Amino acid sequence: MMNTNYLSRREFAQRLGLGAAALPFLMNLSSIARGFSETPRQRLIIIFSPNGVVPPQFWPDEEGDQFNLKRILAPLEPFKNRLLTMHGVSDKIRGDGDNHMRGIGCLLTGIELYPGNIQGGSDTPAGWASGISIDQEIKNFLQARPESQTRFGSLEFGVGVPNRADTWTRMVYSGPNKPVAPVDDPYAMFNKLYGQRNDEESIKSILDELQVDLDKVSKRVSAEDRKLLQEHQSLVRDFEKQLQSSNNTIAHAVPQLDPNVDDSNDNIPRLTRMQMDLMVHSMLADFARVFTFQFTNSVGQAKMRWLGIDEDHHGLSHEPDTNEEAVEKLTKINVWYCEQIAYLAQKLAETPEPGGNGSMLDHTTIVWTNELGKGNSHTLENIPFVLLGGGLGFKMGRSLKLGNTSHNRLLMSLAHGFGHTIQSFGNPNHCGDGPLILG
Amino acid sequence: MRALRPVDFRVSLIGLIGLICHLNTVFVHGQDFDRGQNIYREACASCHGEKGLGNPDHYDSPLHGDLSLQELAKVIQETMPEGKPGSLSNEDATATAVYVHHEFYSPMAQLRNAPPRIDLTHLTVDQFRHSVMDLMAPFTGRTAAVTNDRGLERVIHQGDWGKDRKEIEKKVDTRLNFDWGEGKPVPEVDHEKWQVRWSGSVVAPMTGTYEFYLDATIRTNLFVNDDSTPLIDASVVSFEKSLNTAQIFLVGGETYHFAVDTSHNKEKSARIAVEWKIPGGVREPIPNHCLLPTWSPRLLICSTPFPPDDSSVGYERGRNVSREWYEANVAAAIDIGKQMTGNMKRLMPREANDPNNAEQVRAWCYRWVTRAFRRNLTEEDKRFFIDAQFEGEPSIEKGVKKVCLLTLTSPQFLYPGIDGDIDEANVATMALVLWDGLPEDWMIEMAQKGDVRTEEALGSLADTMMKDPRFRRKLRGFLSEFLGVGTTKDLSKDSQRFPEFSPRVASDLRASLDLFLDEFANDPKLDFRQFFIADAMYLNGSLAKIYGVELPPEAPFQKVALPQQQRAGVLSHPYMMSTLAYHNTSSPIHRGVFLAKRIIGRNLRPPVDAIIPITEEATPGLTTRERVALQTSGSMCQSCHRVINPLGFALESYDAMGRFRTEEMGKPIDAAGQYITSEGQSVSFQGVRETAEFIANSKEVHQSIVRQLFQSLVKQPLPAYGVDKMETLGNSFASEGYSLQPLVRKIALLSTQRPPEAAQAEGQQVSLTQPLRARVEGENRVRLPPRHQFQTTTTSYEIFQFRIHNFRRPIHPNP
Repeated sequence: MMNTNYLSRREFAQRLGLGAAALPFLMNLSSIARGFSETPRQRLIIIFSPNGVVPPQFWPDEEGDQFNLKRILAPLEPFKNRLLTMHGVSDKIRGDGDNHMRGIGCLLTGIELYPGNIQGGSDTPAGWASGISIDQEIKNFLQARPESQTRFGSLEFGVGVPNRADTWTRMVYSGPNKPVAPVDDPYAMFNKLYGQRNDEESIKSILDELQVDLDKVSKRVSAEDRKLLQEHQSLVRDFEKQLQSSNNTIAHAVPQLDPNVDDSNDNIPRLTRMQMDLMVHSMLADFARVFTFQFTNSVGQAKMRWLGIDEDHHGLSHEPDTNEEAVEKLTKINVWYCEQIAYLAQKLAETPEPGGNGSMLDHTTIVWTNELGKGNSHTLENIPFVLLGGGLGFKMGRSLKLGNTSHNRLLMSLAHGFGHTIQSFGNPNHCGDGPLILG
Repeated sequence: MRALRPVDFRVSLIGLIGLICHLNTVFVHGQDFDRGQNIYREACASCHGEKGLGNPDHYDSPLHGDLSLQELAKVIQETMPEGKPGSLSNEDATATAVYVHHEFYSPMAQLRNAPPRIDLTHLTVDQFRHSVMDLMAPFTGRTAAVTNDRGLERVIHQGDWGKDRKEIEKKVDTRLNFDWGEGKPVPEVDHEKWQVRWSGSVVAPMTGTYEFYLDATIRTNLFVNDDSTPLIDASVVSFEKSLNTAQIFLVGGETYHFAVDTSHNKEKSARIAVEWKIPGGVREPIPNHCLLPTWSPRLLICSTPFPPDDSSVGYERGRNVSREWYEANVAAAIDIGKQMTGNMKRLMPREANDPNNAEQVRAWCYRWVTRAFRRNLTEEDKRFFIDAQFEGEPSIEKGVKKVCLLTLTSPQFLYPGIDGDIDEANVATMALVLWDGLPEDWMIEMAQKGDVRTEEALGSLADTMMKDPRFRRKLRGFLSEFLGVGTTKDLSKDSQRFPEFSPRVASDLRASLDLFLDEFANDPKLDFRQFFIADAMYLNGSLAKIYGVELPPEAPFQKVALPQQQRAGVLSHPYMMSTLAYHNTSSPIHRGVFLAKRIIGRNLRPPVDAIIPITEEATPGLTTRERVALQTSGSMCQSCHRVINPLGFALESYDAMGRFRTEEMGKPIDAAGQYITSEGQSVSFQGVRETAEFIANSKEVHQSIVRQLFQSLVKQPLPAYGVDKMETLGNSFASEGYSLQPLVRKIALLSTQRPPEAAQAEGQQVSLTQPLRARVEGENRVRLPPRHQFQTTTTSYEIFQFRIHNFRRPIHPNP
């Protein structure tokens, strides 16, 4: 994305221009320094996977705190007591656009799509969502308060998101008609998070050689011209000192990324790990409190060859329930997604909360969701909503059956969990009974 | 501040005269000189310094200038000494002038006292941006030569991809603004689905951030300098969101890939408009002359903000290093490294990020660094600049970034010609002089083979290089610099008095001037005197109406011949006349300074005091000319305004927006002008035509063009290449038909000639003293013409109370 490059570069130059290359890092880390005395941090991660699930292999049969996990959710067994499965939450937003479009576009916004020119299936065409998404709503709430302000507020991760901007590829909205693109390239995300720091490392690594080079050429010029080069040399030396002093004051781990990983379908498992590791690192550094993680897109067509599945996900999801082979493959696909969530949860559970009590998972609620309840019916009822972790005051370790309630209420619950007690969210007609009481 | 008291002066003067009478000796420099020296030491040196360099406590500017000896004498007589102007006898004033003129005042004396040398310079910001662009060119492709074709290629298709898609129409379009309503782009389309693609290139007139505006109700993508990722992706047309904008930094004078892709499916109405805003400009349709139907490659754009180059000597050159500059250099190198590695697959050997191909990537880097250093690499260079950067570095991408960082911050890239053998350095110099960029690979090879040793070989290389679009760009840059229109001017006029004037008119005027300048850049063989005397101007329908020419209202820009007495080349171009004016009245001072300083090349000192222009209200009934004459009538002012005003007055036939006029405030326009050449010859002219004829044929102007062209191309002082060069090049410019082409060729060749290596290397200055001394002594013997008829209007002088010496940094309505 040209614009992003441009801005980050300009940002960099401006910061250099401020005269202290270290400044941005000091600023970024200020919230860590402050963190030890503040109220406990709360974090939200919303993870999206596409094309619906296989409901019989997904939802627990039981209701309440005694329940058994089915095949798809089985990888979350270690976290069963911090799990909240929420059967019966439906996306009731109607209007323009097909179910895949509304499925992703209204999922976090809870409001209709604008009329537009994007034609999907047989429904009327549509444009972008007409409202802000809940993650951005919460981010704005947190950023407006000094005690919860972070460098980025929110970070939007992705894996395998197609390089096109349309209603099917965007889940996050900063406002009506304002989709936010997920960053699906871990190197780009790394640059966003640590780019300046990384650049400094590169600069430092060549400064000695640059001095040698300058020494060498200044011998070849006249005394008068040498003055200019000597001035140049002293600028290089000053710069080096400046970089060194900035380094001594900060002990901050920068994660190492596997080099040379291509952004390709077959690398989705590696890319997922890289992105999730970056996410955990950015939580450690308190770069943001709100995260989204988008696997591919609505109608996502990942080919999970690493599971021995050559067909694309969306194609498979259209197969009838009678096609057992397809159902088996879809189950495997969803198990794989669930394993990724388990990986992330495990990492968070293993990492002590910086400056706080317990693990990072105790302060983080993961929401795993999907644009459809079920692929071949394209239903927006019983949207998969699985919550995992803590920090929002929800009573976990339960299987809920909510009986076809509007998903706007769940979105409101998330905000209320952060202390943002909004009276409605998205289309108010679907917020009638207020937030779901999950405490 | 201690002023010299008149009493002191008289005493010293009496003593001086006595001294001269008694000695009665023949002096080496003649009597005038020694008498002047004594007067100067006694009466002037305390404020002006022994050597005329100024005294920080009194008058801190050096006494440097280019008035003729007799004019200087007159200025001295009328303004000096402080507190008692007019007290010197004519003879004493003349003697003082002789001494001052010879010792430090005249251009020749300045040269003698501080002989210019060829300085080591780093790339200017412009050169840096063009060089990094050139660095990638072999891997991205070269921009085609600009032809006269304008507009974009428009192709209309209908149908579904992979099904029934077919081409309906292909032609060149001149605009990007269509409202097809519920209809179709052309009647031949008989399908619900249709696509229109405009493609070609866009020329960026200047460097800076451009804003593009896309207003479309059908699916549209707009591409600038990138044919894969759109600058504006408006695939989704959502309710109330038909307008999308995006910014992109473009390097001026370059041609960028540009395309607009639309496709109609079921949308009810189809409308599309593309506009832009250039740096400092207004939102407007992209002018047709900036659109080309030809393809351009993707260019590597360095958009890092740099501090401006040192232009204290009158042209930009890389003579200053500062922390801001170095940090910008580093930031730019990092940015470029990112752009390179962000496109590894595209720019580098296939699968550049496959570790198995590390060798190929290295080889690629050897070639890249060779280009950057403008010379062949030794084995040691390869190890130092490339191999070492990949050692212990698992990521190829990081290795490439480090190579880029080390190379682009290396003095060998930043200070061209600092390394390499003489042939490589010559080729590098020519690339900078003619292109502001890097030599091509084949040129470095030529240098290596020793194929550019002779003047003939270098000359034919210059001929080849002048056919490249980069030369056109560089020459075009000079023309803007020459006129001082390199940056957009904020042009607005009094809306009461000039209701026709609008930002759009300002932008059209600029386009009109640009088209005129393009002519000379596109064909450097043209007789450059036409630059001043051409009677044709580019006008479109709306400008024609305002400037009193008959054209259809919608007419595109075209060349229109105008009455000879009303228009002459750039001198009367309404863009120039509007910028060289106030918002409500013309400004003979701005116009005079423009002619004296920029065109004729006179050296004007900043004004001696903060001056607020006299308002029209304060002087009812006076014409602009009369008001300016009144304002500048003080003798101190006159030291410069005697040159400025009579030049500016000759352009009084143009109002503040450059319209021709024959009267002002009911009085007929007095466009009589006058100029006293630096040799003391007085020339009179009436109106723009005679002024233009004088300018076009003035030896001083020819030399001024030579000097400015040289400095703009070479970015070094011309006298450093020989004190006689301004004159000899000026003469050959005239004798070869006033065409820029042979002049540039000579300049390019001259730029490769250096003073002896040894002299430069040991930091010695080439001695210019001897020949100069002889010349200056010759000058002393010039007989003075009869005393100048000049009247000091004491009254007005007193009215405005100029505190002549009481200033530090003058604030002045400088053009």
